[in-house]
Amino acid sequence: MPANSPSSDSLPSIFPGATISGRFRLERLLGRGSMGSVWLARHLTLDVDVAVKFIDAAFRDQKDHRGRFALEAQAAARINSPHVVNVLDFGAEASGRLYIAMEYLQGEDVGKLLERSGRLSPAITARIVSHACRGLGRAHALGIAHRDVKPENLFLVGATEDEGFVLKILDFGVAKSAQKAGSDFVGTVVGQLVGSPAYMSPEQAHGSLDVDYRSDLFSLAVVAYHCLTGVVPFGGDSLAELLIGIVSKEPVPATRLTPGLPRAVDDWFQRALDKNPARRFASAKDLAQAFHMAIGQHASSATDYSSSTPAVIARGAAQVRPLSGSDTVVHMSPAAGRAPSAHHADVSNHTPSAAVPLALAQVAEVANVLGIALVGPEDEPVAHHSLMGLPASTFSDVTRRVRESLDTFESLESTRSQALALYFEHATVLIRWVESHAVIVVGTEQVHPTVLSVSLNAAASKLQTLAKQAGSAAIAFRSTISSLPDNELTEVSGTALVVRPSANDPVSDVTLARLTQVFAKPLGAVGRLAIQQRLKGGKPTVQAYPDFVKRLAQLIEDATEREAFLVDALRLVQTEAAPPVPLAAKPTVLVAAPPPTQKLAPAVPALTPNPVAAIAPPAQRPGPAAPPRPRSATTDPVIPLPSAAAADPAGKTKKFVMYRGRKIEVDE
Amino acid sequence: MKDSNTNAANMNAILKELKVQGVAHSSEAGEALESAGGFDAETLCAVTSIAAAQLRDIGDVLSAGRLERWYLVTEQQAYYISERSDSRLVAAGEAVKNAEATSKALHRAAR
Repeated sequence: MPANSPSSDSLPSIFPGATISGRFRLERLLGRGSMGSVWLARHLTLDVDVAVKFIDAAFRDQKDHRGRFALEAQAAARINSPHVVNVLDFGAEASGRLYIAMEYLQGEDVGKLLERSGRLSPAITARIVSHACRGLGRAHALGIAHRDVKPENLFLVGATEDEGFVLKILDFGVAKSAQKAGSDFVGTVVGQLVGSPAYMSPEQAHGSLDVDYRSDLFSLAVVAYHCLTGVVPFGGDSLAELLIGIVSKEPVPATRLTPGLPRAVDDWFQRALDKNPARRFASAKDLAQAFHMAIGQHASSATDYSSSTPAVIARGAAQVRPLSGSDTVVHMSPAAGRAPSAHHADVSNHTPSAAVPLALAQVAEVANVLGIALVGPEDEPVAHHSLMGLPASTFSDVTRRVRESLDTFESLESTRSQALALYFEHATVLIRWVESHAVIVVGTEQVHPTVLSVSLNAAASKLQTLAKQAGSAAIAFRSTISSLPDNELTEVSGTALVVRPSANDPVSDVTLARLTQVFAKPLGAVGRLAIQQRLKGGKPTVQAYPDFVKRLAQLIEDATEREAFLVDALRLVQTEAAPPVPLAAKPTVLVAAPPPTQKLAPAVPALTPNPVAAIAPPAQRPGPAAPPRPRSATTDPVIPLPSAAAADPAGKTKKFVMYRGRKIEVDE
Repeated sequence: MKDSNTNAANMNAILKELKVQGVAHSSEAGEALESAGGFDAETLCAVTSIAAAQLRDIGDVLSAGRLERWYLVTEQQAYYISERSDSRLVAAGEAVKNAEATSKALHRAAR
């Protein structure tokens, strides 16, 4: 055994260079936990890094610890969530010591981030809460409670500074499965403290066996409090003092420790940290949604605690644009980046970062539209664009209210809503649901309802296609759209929503997501990991894709499965050119108006597209002033065709408008 | 409540014109005052009343004024609602891709 091997791992099989079960070669010790050690290892067949966790020799023969270790592996494997660390293998090495092989994560845990930063912004905290709730929600649905939710068990993969991280929950080592409750194995004994004291729930502090998912939600709220304020809500000089605080004392309001936080955050903590589990949030989803709403628009700003601009739309607001220095435009050349090549729908090889905003842009282009947003399943804004400077949080707020109001409708027939239209005196709100996301568009009362509806349906169909391309779970779809910055409108090019990359362009994320799914068929989670590892060196180009796939195929032992994989994988990228389709629309100008903070006069012509390409920036983005641009009849995308009126057999007069080269029937 | 637009005869006329499964005149509180067609008017009026109260709040969020009409399309059904000051007209039909025309027609009928 090498001299530098850990002394506690006294069994000779655990040292750098050791081979475990013929599958993993240990590289180096990554860290130690309460029950064992975690090693960086190399998967010998797949040639990828993995993390292998061993139970310490001291616990090796203790039935409860062995059981707990096995439960950790089973729990994490069953949950199968992108927000829970992926378990690849579980077994015993030669000396009988149990191990769990997991995906190797690179990043830092929330504990280390807090050490480094003191406290975190509302936006980062909201993302932490949201991701943790998704992982916990999945576990809870399976009857699994984590029971040790704390910053050190919340691992952030990716950059934390720009909120681009993905959170993964670690260490289900003290998890409790409801299904195990009646079996021989029980994860704890009465009176035994399980979990990390500062983040424990009152029921855990009591040493109760009656600990369920609501304990996790309490602990997550403690983490959120720590993130926002820099301190934990319950403290003390001794463990006894700490436990007394948890079971009997109320925390200092977070707003007192972090001035500028919305007051609603205090209400949220009051409920989330209630001593009585029955009075806490009923589910991880409820907790996340309530937190998002409590934080409000602070969630969309990493540092700003005070920029609370009320969302106000006034009659005619879109039409009035005073000559003000705050009126900002950002010009964007239509040739910026690579000029789009228009092709028919092989969207599997499109550029995903452009496709989603393009789909939204198509709707934003309709006259009298004030803004559009893609809102996620927890009412979080994913991408949004607003000429009027409507904040993303307004779209989230409206979507949440709509969802709540439609609960009773959905219970009528146990089906999900597909579309909703609200016609107010001074505004029109349309929502289309795509997978778990909502596309919401807000316009003035002057927006043409049929044109808007058709346009929104078209955008929703495109988003639906993207979701399907990403696989039935649509996980890749969500990650793709989640990575889009707000207000990203890269190009508006009529019907040409698909950009086929050239041979030297990288293969799209959606294609890689599909490839991962195809590769996971024969190899499971290990296959996904193998692709992730290989992509760290960069995405393959379209030209290099076949070689990339062939190299992956070599990892599949079974010849039949290998052949099937090659066929499916190579089909994902077609390099031959499709026939071009002429662009239907001209480049577009969308000029920003000032934030709608006051009632404005009605009946002024609307802003419409114009041959100068530009996009509307967020209201706070600095830039040069722009003069008002009058409506141009020649560039209005909706062109009434008087001659298109025709009588149908029933004697009714039909009217049509042309929109993007399509003849659309209107009913008045 | 009875008026010229929402008496029983008009209910049937609206039902025929809109080609929907049912039409009902609902009080603001969700009580079905009159209905025509084969559907559960009582339940729909009650559910609509609850939803409408919450949807009206969106108008406050957006400073958008009064809610005038709305429709909801689910996987199986389409619901059309025309709001009035103290009551609403509610219709239910099969799910359609373009519910706009029916929604407008109902709104016109309610005037």
